Amino acid sequence: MDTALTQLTIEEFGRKLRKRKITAEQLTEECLHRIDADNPRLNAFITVMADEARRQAREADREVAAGHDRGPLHGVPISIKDLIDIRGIPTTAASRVREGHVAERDAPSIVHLRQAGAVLIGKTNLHEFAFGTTSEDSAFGPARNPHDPSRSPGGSSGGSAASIVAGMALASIGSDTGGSIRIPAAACGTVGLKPSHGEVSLEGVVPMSRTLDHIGPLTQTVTDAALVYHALLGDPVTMPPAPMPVSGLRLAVAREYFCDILDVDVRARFEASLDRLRTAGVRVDEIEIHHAADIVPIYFHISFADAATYHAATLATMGDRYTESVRSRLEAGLYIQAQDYVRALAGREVLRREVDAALAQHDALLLPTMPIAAPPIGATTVMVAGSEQPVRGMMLRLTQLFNVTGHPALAVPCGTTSAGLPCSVQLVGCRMQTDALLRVALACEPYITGVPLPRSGIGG
Amino acid sequence: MSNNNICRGESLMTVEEWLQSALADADRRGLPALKPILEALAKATKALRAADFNEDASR
Repeated sequence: MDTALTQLTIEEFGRKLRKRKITAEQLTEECLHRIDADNPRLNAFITVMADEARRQAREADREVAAGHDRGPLHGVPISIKDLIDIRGIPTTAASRVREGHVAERDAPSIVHLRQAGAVLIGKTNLHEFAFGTTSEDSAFGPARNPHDPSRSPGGSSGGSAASIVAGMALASIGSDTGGSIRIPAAACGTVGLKPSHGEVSLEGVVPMSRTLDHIGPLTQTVTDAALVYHALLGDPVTMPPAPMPVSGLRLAVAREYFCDILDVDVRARFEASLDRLRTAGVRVDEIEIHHAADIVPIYFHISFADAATYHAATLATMGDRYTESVRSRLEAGLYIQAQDYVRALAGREVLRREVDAALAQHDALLLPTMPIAAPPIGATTVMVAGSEQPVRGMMLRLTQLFNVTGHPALAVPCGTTSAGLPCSVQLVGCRMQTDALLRVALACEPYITGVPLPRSGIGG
Repeated sequence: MSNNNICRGESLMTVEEWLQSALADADRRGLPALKPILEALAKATKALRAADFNEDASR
């Protein structure tokens, strides 16, 4: 078995597939081998669709041989967060509350992935009902970080991120309500894209907070994220968007609040990325989000009230089937008063205008994705630059704003801590201009990671 | 709340009063794990109500 196969990017696999140097069946088999070998240790998957994946891979190879090329995702093994319906497969949401559930139909996003020729390899583990940042509260046991299995892979799409790093899939589809794609991307060292709110259909996705929910891809590179994003829209492109010229790009950094509390190594990697970008000719300005201090109360009221409302019936009839921590937080949401929910919605509009204003003169905002590296599983607090901070609050601190406002946001790895744990920066773009954000990210990626990328080109 | 109470000008429930009521409810339901979360929620609610973007019918 060639384990290097599973470290191919989607782009690289596509070139080899079309040159007949590899088959979808070979790659899928290698991913399944990696799942067999490492899933008992990492618990990235809840359901492995081995037979179905093999069937889809063979079909993909037959189609390619017959000249029917569905595009860049043809034959690509992709894992799916177990919050998203795949016909005939349980959608567990990592909860005993959904015991016995089997999806009757594919979610539209899944239909689009099938049309693009993707191989659906399995359903990944997550924080129960997506209501957490660590993926440790799951009816199926915690998902674990491939870089250090004693640590969280982040959440709530932790199994998704882990599945990519561990070579079990080339990409994954996650959900993001407060950061649940970007936080695991940061914790595991992958790229994670939260598109603009409302771009990708949420039909067939178990909601956490309908006001704040998004779905999007986790991948190894920004190019791959662009390819999967377009496939999710039902608009598969044959080439990723062209990067913007890096020299002359205008980026904005918000220091106050967003850089106040950072792990020493996370800060160092962030500043090093900034230095490389400046050297490349990027203009970096400092801006302020005036109501940043109101982000947490606004997010708290909207997300908790939305989630509690969705779960009201099952909390009353089967509350004991939830994990304790998730149940407690859902129950708390039932106490939120309508007047405060309305206040939070008003605050949301204020924050939205402030982020819009910050972007008016800039191509993107740039900030760390997470102030800390992946925390130990079970930790409730963490020391950050000498002060003790709550784990959940830290993990959400830099991502939740863009769920509140709906701006597209992308996490990109930017090196590691001295202990070898991934660090990440986040780029944020204008609302409903996710492609423009991807073009900025493509330009910035080599300078953020510090690693030059090979020249891009599908089919080359 | 009865109309008599409103006519005598008694104030509506404060966040602190809401919290005490919610904590008592959590006790009644046998859910002690709820208490620290309700306290955090009360802190967030106070911050939200104090925010300068809240509308005021008198202005």
